[in-house]
Amino acid sequence: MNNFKMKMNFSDRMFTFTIYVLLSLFFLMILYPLIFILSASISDPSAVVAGKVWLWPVKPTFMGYEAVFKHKLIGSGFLNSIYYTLFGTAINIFMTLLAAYPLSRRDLYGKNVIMFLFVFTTMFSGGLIPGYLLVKDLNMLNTVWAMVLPGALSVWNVIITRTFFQTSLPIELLEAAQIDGCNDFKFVWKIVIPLSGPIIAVITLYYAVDHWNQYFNAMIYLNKQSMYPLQIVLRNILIQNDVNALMLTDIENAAQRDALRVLLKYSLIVVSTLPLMLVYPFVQKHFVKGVMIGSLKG
Amino acid sequence: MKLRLNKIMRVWQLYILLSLPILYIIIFKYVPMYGAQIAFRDFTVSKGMWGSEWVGLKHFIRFIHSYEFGKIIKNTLILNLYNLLAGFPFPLLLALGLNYVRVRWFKKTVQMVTYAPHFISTVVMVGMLFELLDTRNGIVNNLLGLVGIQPINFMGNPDFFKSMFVWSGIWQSAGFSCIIYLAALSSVDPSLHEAALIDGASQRQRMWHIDLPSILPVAIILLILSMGSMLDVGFEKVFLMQNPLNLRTSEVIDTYVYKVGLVSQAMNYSYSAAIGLFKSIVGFILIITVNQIARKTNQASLW
Amino acid sequence: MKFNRNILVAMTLVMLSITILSGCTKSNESKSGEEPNIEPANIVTPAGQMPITKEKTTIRVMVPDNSVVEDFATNEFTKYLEEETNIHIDWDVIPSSSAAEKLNLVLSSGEGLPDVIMGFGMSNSQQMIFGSQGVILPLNDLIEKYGFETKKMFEKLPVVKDSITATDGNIYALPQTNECFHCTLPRRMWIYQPWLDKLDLKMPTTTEEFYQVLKAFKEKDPNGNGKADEIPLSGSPTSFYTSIDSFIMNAFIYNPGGDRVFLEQGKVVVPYDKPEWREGLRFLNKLYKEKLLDPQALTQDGDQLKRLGENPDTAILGSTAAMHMGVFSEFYGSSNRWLEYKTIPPLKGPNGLQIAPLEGYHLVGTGQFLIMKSSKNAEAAFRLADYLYNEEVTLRSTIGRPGIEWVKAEEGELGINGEPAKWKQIADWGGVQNMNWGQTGPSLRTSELRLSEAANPDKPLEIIMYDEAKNNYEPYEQKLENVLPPLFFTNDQAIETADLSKTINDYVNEMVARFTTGDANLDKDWESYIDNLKSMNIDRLLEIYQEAYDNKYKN
Repeated sequence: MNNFKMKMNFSDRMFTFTIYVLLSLFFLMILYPLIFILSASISDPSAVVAGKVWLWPVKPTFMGYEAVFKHKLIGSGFLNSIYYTLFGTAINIFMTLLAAYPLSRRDLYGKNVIMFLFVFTTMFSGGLIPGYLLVKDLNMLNTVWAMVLPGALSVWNVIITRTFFQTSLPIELLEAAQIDGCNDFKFVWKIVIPLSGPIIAVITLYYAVDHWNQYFNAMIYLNKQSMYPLQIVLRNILIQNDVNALMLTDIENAAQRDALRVLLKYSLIVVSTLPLMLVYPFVQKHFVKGVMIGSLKG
Repeated sequence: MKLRLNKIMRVWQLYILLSLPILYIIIFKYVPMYGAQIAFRDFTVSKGMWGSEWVGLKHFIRFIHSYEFGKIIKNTLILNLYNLLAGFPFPLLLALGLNYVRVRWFKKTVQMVTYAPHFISTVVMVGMLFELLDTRNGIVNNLLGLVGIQPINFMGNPDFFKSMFVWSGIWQSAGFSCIIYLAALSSVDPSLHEAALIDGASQRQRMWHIDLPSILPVAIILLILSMGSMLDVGFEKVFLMQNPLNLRTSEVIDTYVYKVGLVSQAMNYSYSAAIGLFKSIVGFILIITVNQIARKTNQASLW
Repeated sequence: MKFNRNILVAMTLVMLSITILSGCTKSNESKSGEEPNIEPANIVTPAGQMPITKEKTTIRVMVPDNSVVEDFATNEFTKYLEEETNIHIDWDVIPSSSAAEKLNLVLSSGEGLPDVIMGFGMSNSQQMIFGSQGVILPLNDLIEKYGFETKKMFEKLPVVKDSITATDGNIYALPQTNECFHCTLPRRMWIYQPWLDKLDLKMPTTTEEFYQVLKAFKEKDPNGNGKADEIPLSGSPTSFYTSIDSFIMNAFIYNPGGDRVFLEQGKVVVPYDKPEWREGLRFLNKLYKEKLLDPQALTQDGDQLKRLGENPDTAILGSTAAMHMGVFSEFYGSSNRWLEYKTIPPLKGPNGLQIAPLEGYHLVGTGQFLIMKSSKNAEAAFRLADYLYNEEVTLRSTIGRPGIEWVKAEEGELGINGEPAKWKQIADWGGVQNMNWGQTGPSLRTSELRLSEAANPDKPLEIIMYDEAKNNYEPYEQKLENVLPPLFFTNDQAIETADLSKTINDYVNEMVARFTTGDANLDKDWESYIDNLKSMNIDRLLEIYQEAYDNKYKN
């Protein structure tokens, strides 16, 4: 990569400088609110309500986090979410690759028709009720399958994967392999997948985030508390501290719950986002340049 | 005919690969589609799908004839177009910029941090926005005051609504949306860059002629796909940002439907289904049209 | 050309598959709710007797999740009920945030229907729709035969029976009756008493006096910090009764709030197209122009309003409309200002009008208990609901166990209303617990019961609310005959009113804001405002309301 240590001329240096400055500005613009959320989540609720929290926490308290981790379902919620995410994403990647590669081949007869059939489903859907009845009729209610099968494939992700294949798999690669007598199955397994690090990383991230934030499906298809994923548990915690201003009888308690709710708004974001933030560096690794090096020459 | 059969047979393995996804699509997407007819019936839960009375276009007509129809379509379209046009370049630019950076720790940190706002809940997001733009204590008005400008009541001015909505959205999603472009950039053959360097190309030229074209296909595909949701707007965020003064420009299709449903004591499934279908049809026409244009200009296209 | 053909092929495939597949699924779908009503296997004892059935009977109850109830199945009150009545409840708890959707999904699947649907607050229209389709049981006969407590409730509070009877004469759902006295007069204005004291001002009684007080707040620096940072009047369009027209307009014309529909001698009318409304807007506009009304009162949310009330170190909020102090300040907050705001009695307008809007029907929470037609235990289920209206059972259901969560009051203890108390709450609750049902389902809390709770100076809110409502607002309360009772719309009426009222109400609110800020001119733009209302079909809206009212009440 650094074989060519070029001397940057002035315009190049200005360009580089500008880019670093712009990125830093953007970075700060994003960092500040994130710090605010973190600080607010451990500040004294009265201070938050009064607007005293600007950057650093005011009178730190871990009430918000206590409330979250005390909840009896928090452990199972985390575990369930991890399970659904891992299992679901694995299925997703498998299905997406199966669909995206053939569609990226120019010699697939009828590929426009098939593509159309896929895209059509993103625009038109039968709605909530038939979907529910289907899951019920397939006996998937209250099982892990209801969490991973209905969303097994995202046409959107199929399309971007297909685009990736179309633009970064040179046609010469395929031709060379075919000359060597390699069939399509082997080609996919031995060549396409290893070269698709970046796009697989991306769709893994997209699918994983989707599963992790999943709320609605769980609510519709699951009845057993032991199966609830994290988001439902977190939302319940928030609701438990919901104070109906119209029906107050014990205000001291109501005040406490309301205060907790103020903190929870922020601590919930932290709790549910932190795992995703920690996962990200692993995905980043795959955005490494030069994946294609040597593919043609080899 | 024989030629076609030949074509199919040659790539039979590809069809095998496709079989599972197609099976999935049929079971989970096409089978339930019979439910779309709910838009053409007076659906009541107790009568079920087949027992509910068929009323044809009644719900569509109700929607189109409603007093606010023109206003909400206009607001929705303008908001989405604004969002699209303004929001389109930023993830691209961010990806190009990040890709360009050599210092690894800077690149990774910036990437990771900018991807985080995507996960902030809408409620907190709008709350922070209100605080930022507060007429008395908000940072923005304080800064404006420093240069002698009177505090602006952002929330109370209907002309500001769209900008607040769009730019806060860009802030929130640019970091997450640029990921796909980063992936595309990372598969650019470095020998292209090496060749360009030898030819004496500057950084800027290399970015323009090598990096950009490599992510353009993805960008165009995403653009075409987003045409399909031209009449969809993030309901929760608009709803939280509405107030009586800006309602003129902030009422969109989804908030309208929600409020009607809230006020109404009647069952609303068919009505919302009809509006959903209406949105889908418009979006679908848009996708086909834009896709055609993309084909004509020989860029990437869906089909 | 290739493109067109491919699209055609694809679309044909799509159409074909949908048709075929929908044909397949058609035979699979079962019709819902049409099962024969079998004779109850268990004989139900006569009205008023416990236990309800000789043998243990199980009924399935579907209920939305309640954030303060830990687990309905193991709840103390549930156990008590089972012991007393011999009825075992199988609970089907639905997450509350999309309870209505999930309920509809379950009902639409037609199988595994519960015996009872409880706590959903099903709307009147929906009840009628379900009722007319034979999905839920009309309860009139059951009430006649077994309604021991229910009939007593009707006698005590006739308005309850009226509110739950549909236009076809059937009662489809039992209510939760909660006669909260002060909740009937919720539109209040609160003012910061220390500032009145500091500036030696009396509590304003007329709109003119109110104007003078606000001016004094703005100009005379009552918080004593040398800065003109006082905000004489603020509010919020979204929080509880905090909109700017909620309180003030009633000095000019009766403004019931919400849909703003009320009755004048049996005729359904609205106030916002009348000249008196215009005068009220003029007053608001004057306050706005002279910077006495905070511009953010028209846009901010509850959190921002609270920030004003809880301003660190110095008070800056002079007054605001709100139901109670917790809306704009914090109970037991660090500023402790929540106790220093007092209510202003309704202001007297230039025409001598002085009204406190009355929520006369709010005590009836409809749609709380419905019995499915398919239930085999309708009688047992009904008797269970009826039992919940018993006074002691209500206390158990809403508070907890006698002797543990509440006790009978002692001699000399005074109730919230100053009269001798009947009972006293001794446990702290409000968080998640498992002793009571958290106000789910039928219960009967009369005003008498609520106010006979022993006054506890450590829990002052109820007392404050009662006092302020009784002293400052009750004397001016609107007569019940002008308050629009709850109506039962047919599905078609409901659809039409939904469309019209959403558009009209939003427009009225928008114009209140715009006339107030001066963005719309009260002289030049009033005519076009009225014209717009007409073109939004306000006449038709009132017509439908009138029809529904006449259908129910002019029989």
